[in-house]
Amino acid sequence: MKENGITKFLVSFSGQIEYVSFPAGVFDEQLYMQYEVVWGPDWDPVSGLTNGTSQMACPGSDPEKVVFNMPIEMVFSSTNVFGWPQLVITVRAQNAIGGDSLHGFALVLMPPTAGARVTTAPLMRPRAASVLGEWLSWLTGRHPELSDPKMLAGGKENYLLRTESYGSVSVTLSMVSKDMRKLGYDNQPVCTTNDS
Amino acid sequence: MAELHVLGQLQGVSNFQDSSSLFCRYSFQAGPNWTVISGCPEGQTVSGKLDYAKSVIWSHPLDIHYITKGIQGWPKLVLQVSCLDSIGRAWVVGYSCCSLPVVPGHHVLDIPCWLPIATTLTDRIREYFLGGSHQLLQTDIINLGTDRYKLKTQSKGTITLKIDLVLRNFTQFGVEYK
Repeated sequence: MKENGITKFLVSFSGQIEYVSFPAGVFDEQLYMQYEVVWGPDWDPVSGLTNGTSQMACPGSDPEKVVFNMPIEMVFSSTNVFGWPQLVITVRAQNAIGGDSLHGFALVLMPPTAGARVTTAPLMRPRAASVLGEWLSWLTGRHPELSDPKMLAGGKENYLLRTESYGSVSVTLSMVSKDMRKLGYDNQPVCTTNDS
Repeated sequence: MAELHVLGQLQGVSNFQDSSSLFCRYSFQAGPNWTVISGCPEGQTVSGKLDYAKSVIWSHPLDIHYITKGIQGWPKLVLQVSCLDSIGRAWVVGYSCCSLPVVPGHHVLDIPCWLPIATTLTDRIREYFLGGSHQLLQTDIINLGTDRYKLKTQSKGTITLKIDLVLRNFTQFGVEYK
């Protein structure tokens, strides 16, 4: 603690956004995703990319699953656990005639415990608030979008946004921390695996 | 003072019979020793439409920082699920309460909900055709065990909560949780 002069801890996240799955399949469309990381006021990114865009991807023999294998690697330093980083993933699609449409947003908390974690986060997208808007989005094939998807990570001021959910994204992330234990934090579950 | 960080997500709800979209109001309630220093202990999720599997996704982030002088009154989460129909009316469709886990690490909690039922036949017919529901006037009954014998309730769906707890300096003050 104070006697050894440590005030900051370091957290490293590494992993990948593995795949997106849609139960009704993806046909004649190419998907891509963008990711952003949102963190609190006491946090600082030390290294790594905190936002990025994936390749255009099509499903293989299984039309439900689109593999991205998008690597994520970043290190943060902080003095406070509050504002733990969250990953905001936007999945979009481009169809054969060049139209671009939103498939959904997903919010994933970076793992606060050491070790690997596989998270399957559902995708959601905003819905038109009025019947006219719903009819227009059906007619034009364009759905309402969020101008700033980072607002999902705030959890406040959503003003009862209407959403619907479809599909999910699978993310594998591992976390390694430095000096958290020295600062008095305990984030480890009780049953640690003891191979003996 | 010992500190507790609650991180996680209010994931969504499943098995609600209502066919319109659902949203949730939540509030964390803790004893007098506990103080919130950052984060929002109360809030409201987005209103999600039922998907093909009859579940609703909120993915609402939670991030709360507590400091505490004692272990009495460990935080609880009080939840109230409401539905929003196509013409903008909202009414309560479920109440629930859950104690937060006390050990650090990742926890997935399934919280079942309940609702007071309409007791008279006319009320039941009105609810069937017009919507609406009976709601509690005193909401402290949700997280207290007293006066519950007067209530008639029915069971509703299940809320899924994914939570990560980080504790700080609890062992220094002699709190034994492991």
